[in-house]
Amino acid sequence: MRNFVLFLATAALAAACTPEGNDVSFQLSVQPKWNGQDLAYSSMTQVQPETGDTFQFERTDMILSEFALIQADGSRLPLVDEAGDPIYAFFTKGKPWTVSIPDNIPKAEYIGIAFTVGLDSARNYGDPSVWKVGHPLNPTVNNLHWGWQGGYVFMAIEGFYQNNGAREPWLYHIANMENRMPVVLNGVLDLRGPRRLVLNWNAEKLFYALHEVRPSEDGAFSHSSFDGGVAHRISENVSQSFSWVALENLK
Amino acid sequence: MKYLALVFVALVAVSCGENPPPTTPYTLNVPQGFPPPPIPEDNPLTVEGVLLGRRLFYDPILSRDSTQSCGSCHNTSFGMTDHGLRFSTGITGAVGDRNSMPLHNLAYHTAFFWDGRSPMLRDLTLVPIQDPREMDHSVEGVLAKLNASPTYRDLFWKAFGVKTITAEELGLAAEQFMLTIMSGSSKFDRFARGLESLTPEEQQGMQLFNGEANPNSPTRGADCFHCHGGNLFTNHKFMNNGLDTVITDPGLGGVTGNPNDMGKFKVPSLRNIAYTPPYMHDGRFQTLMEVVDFYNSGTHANSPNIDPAMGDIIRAGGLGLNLQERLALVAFLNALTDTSIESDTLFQNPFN
Repeated sequence: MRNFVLFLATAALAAACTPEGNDVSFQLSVQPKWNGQDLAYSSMTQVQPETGDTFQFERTDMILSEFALIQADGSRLPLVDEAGDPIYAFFTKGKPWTVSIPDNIPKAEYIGIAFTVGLDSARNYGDPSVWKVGHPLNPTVNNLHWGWQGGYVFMAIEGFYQNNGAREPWLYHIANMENRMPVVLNGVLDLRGPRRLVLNWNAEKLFYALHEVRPSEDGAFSHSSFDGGVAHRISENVSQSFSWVALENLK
Repeated sequence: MKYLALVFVALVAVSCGENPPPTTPYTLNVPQGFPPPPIPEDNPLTVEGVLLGRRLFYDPILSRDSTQSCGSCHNTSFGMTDHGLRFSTGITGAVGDRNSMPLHNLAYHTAFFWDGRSPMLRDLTLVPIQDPREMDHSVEGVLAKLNASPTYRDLFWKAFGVKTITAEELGLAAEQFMLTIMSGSSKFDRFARGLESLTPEEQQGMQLFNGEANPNSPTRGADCFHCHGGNLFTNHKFMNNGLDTVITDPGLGGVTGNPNDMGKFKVPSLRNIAYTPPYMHDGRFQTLMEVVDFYNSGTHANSPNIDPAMGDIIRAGGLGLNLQERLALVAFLNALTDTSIESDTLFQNPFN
């Protein structure tokens, strides 16, 4: 009995001495969508609601960086990994579009999240061989490094579309610093406990958010130069293509 | 009683002897500018494992009649391919239907063979052993030979600590050797490191290689880099480049069963491409000029599952390069040749 009481006392003391952590973990989960439905690949079924163009997607690759929480005063809190380094992400077909941030975020109510599809200049033109195995910026992970020309393709989207009944290819590779795609989403982001924020990536908006883009009229191919500005227009559409879905408790 | 003590001591001695000797970590020579290679965590490179893998690679014991080794069809003098042959001939005289692939920088690959049938390098080894058009053997038969060999039993013991050799260790040893075959010492690499100059023709070829085939661009381009870009000169994808209007070889589709994959093949690295004629999965082109001519004017827009990346070229009716430009492109491709793969003793046949 004495031992049992001692045990209980020790346990209670230990619990009391365990400080309630001031930091929480956070996960960002992005769902690729087309007009509210899951984005279907290799299927000529995606009808753009504004232009009526029908698309088939084969590739949706993108590099994301500069993740930050927007604090109540409007300032940004950069998200970092266990080592304190900036978070990067690579999203591609067939793999989860998830970014996990460890237990290092101060508990608070934030008012939004920001990130960039693309990279800053130092990362974009830096030596790509420095990134460790499995890192999102390792060229063998993302296959988005242009090699000798230098720099990364920030977003590579490819597929086919119906052009007067004919199935024709389209390909837009968004690159170069002027085509970085900043994303800011405002919302109540209560991070007083571990949470998962779910976003949608609404691919139909690539072709109609700020600018109408029709492959048959604006050009079906771009590598971000000498393209009549189509890559830049798409990049501005991309900034508007993410939407807030829900904040969930993270178990 | 003394007898029992003797038995006990003997048992202890035997059981202590069961511990394999420690292995020596192998330091991989990664070419400058290459990203760190993803070595499988369950198969760290060791000197013992790599040397055993090399011995196996060159040992004809892997074929049913002990006449052919892996090295028979993957020769260092031909960029680890088969002597310029379109198809390889197996021990029975049967001929394959796809061109022998080069075996360098495999550490970066995530699928092997033209159709991607093997997700890991260790699996790759067991395929030709059992193919009746190649080594025409069985894994069981090979393992019986290896286990009957005191030399191999000793080498596997030292490399993997096993008394009985299984298919797992056979694959792991071969994987270790193939992971070490790195190639990054071409003239282009020396140029990129500021150690050597390219000729004006090679420079022009490099600009064409890395330039867009965009009629609106003031510079000419051949669009090669989209699929063969980066330091490894491949995007590691499976693509249909518009070779045929009718698919006769399903390629990746034969493995996945997905109709959208029919006619797609692994995009090969262009490193050492001058060493490895003929070209394409079926070796239909004998020379690099024939390959360039194909992209210049021979692609088929209506090829099923043609990759969107080919669209730019096809829309323009081909690359439209003149003869001088095509020659320059070939000159640059020749500058991707790394002679060290032929001379590096680490990769050579240890039986010679």
